[in-house]
Amino acid sequence: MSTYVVGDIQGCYKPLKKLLKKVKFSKSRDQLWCVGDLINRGPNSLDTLRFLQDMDQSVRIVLGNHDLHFLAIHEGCAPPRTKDTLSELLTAKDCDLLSDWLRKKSLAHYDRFETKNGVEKFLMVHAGVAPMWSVQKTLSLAAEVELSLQGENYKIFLRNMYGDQPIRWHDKLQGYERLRTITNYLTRIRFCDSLGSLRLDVKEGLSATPNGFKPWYEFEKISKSATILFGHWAALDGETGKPKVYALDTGYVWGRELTLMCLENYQRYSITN
Amino acid sequence: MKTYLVGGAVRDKVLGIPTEDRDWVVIGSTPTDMIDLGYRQVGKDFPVFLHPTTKEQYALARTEKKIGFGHTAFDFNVSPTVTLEEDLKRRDLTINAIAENHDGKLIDPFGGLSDIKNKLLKHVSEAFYEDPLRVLRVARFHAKLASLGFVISPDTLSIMSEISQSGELKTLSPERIWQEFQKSLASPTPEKFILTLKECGALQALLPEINITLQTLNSLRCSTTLSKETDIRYAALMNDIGNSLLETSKQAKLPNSRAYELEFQSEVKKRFNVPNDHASLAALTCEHHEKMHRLKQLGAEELLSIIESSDAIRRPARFEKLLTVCKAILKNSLKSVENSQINLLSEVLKIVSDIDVKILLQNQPDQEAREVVRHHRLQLINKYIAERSESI
Repeated sequence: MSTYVVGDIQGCYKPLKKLLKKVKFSKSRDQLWCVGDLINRGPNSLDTLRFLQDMDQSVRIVLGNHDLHFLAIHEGCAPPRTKDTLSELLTAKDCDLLSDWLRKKSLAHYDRFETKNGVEKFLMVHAGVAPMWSVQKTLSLAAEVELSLQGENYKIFLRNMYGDQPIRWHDKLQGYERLRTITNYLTRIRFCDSLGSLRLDVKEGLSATPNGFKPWYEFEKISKSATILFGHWAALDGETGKPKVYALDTGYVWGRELTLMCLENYQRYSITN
Repeated sequence: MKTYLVGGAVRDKVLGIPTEDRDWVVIGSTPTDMIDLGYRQVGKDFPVFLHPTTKEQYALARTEKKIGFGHTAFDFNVSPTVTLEEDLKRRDLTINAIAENHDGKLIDPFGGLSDIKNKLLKHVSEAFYEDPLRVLRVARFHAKLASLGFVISPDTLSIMSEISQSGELKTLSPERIWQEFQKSLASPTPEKFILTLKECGALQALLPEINITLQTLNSLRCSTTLSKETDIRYAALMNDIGNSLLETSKQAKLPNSRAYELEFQSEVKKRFNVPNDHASLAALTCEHHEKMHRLKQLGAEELLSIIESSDAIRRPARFEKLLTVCKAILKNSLKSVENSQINLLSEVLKIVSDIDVKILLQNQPDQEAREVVRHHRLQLINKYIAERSESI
């Protein structure tokens, strides 16, 4: 039995299939972890979701900003954007089903198991975490958003999810501001400062680092106790330069690569676009 | 007599960012002493002096007390007995209430340094209530410092809301409003100025006709990446605001929304004392930006009419600004328009400006000058369009 983690798929269904074939993935034996952004921007969002839902038992998924954006459009809580490539999915007969399935997924996933280095702990999020969050805290804050997404009032959450404010985490944040801020860290963060202040407007790589800010993983305290897996930031090209913090988005949809990594031995596999 | 560097200069030094003005506070002195030392008093009723050589501002330490309604309705007490701490206490934000003595030692009685470290915009004391202009000032500091991670303390924001609800913002003179507005436009994130004013209810008090959100401030945000000039940013903002005019006020007024937008723009100009160059660029943008979507389809007549009606030949610099504003607006429109398309207009302007009118008229003395020039310009544009489509 092996556990694989795959970077942002973004509707690139065919390379996903190829990668799984390359490692002889078996859905009865292995597990596939997805760092989120399963859909959008790429050509086959519908096939991707159908495929993953079909093997639900063997996948572990955290939601990315594009996944949440799809849920919001589907529920009529946000307008589609010009660059979206979701129309095939949105008009599919089984869209309701897929959307309900996706909506029940988490924003942070944690597990521990035996690897070549002995028993290891893993925390998977789509984008990142705030400087002061521990594994426990991250999981419980993610759970707040998950509860809201799975609860009766999920549409109100989806309508209030968008926006860059407040710019940093505070334990006393309440209501939808609180949920929005948690969501922004888990699904959108790239640069922040030591207090956790977010710069969500900067989407490029390290050369664009704003003055006084750093990539979020320069501040995180989690990797002392657990290995972090994340996607979202294609411009990093899979490099953080930090042990136990793994960037998996290598930008297949932007003409580069889709990356798969085996968590038991850290072997990487990739398909070039 | 002792002098201390205070306010923005100290704050920016601690933050490590460039600063504009260096202001000083003077403890234990009187106006006569200052004049005897060669300082020049500026303003009759305010104890501020210019240094004989550096021309930097030196203000006598003072305390203030509100005696009525509005921005100017306070009495101040200047006396050689007012202490540095008392003077710092009347200031707006803790990060602006740090003083530095001549040895470079910082005097920080209100926790300004720790608020800089924690990136908090927080009022110093109850004195904040005394001047409604402070609502705009805090919004401006937010526009200046938000990109560094600064946020407004909730307590301060709630005082700002109280002041906004009190109606006191109406006492602010258009000149003072514009001063804050323009400085904000020049800052790294001018949209934060507008959003903060909205969050505390000040925008509703100043401009009840609009309902603006972060999403509607796209053109302004794009313009900040294209230009540092405040007239360009102002024109982009007015486009966003035009789009945010409440439907009710739109319908109640003129059926033509562009005409109403222009009318609203002149109302804003009046209320905020917007300078002519800013206002005219905004009006020009309102008139022309829609055509920029389909420049490629326009013929020579239409291209020339854009140039003529915007007075581009006489005022080429303003025309270039107009094109920059349009780039900011179009960057966000649904149809993606490449900047190269807008640059076509710069090319056309160059072509029609380059002709030597004198020589042209010498050869055709009998006809009316205007028509000759116009005809010649049209020919040149037609030729350019033809060459351009061939090269593509």
